[in-house]
Amino acid sequence: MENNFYKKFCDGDDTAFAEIVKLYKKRLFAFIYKFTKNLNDSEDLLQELFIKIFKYRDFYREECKFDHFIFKITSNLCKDYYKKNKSGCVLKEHRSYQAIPEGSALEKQERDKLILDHISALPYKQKIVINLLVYENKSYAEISQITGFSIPSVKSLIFRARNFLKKKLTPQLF
Amino acid sequence: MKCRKTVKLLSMYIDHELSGIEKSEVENHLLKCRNCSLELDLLKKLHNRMISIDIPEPGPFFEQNLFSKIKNLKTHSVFELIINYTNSLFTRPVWIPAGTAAVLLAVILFYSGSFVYALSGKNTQIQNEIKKAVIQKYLKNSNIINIITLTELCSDCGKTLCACSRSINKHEECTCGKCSLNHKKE
Repeated sequence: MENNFYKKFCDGDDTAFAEIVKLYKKRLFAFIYKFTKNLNDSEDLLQELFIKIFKYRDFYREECKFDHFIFKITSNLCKDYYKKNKSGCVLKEHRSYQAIPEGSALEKQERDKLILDHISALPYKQKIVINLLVYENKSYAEISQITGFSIPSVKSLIFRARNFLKKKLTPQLF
Repeated sequence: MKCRKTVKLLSMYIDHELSGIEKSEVENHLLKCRNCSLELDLLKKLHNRMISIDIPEPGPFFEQNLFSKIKNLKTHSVFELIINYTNSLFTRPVWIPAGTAAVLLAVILFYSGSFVYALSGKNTQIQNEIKKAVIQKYLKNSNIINIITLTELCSDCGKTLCACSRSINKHEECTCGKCSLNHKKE
């Protein structure tokens, strides 16, 4: 369906672009937010992303999935952001290592924040593959296509990312 | 299958990325090994917790701002295109064509320079005659001095000069036969 929108958009139909924005804005915002952990930065990056899609629509090849095209641009944008703000992505140790009690509304907020903190503390490559795997339900082959990493690299990056998260989050979440 | 290998494959197992044989091997091991089963549960729990996090959404004016920016982009697109093209000239890898052009220019300058240098040593009458011969030979029928004519002219300068000017200096008849000058002994 997205490919149809994109075809129309490439043919100069601006209403199709509005549909693409509607369809993707939440997903892409969530993807970017896990990199920046900052609402304003995420919104700016998302805007930049859609402008890039608008400007570079002629570079899209129909044999490639539109989804992949968008996530390729997004991951490149996130990479640039990561390079600029490398020092800001260092994990600040959570204030306590005690398990968060279950049940309260605050608990959910805190737990989400904790998970986000640790995801954003991952190195860029691990972060991008874990985002695509967990939140975008991409297969290893698709991740490899989007990121340009080989499939063995993707496997290894996912394994390392999961190990890191397990090690850091288990004492606090489970 | 040993625990160490199984643990390495668990991540791929929950992502459904194992081949049929590997999958059955892992499942057989999990039936026997409690530690690996616990490890698998932990990974699944972690995965579910990660999925369940709430992420904020973009602000209410996001689309409005985006479309106004895109509208501006359309009006400025021609101007931007020129700027982008100019910028790309400096960012593109131009070393090979630039180097070739520099070498060509150096060769042309060298030959034309040597021609001018050789010509400057002669008296005015000889200079004029050589100029006339060169113009007749190379430039008479061409309205535009293109790079090929210029290169040919420069590479032939030596020939034009060799026989004619030397002959003129010695007040002898030109014997080169390559030029149109015909000077007889005075």
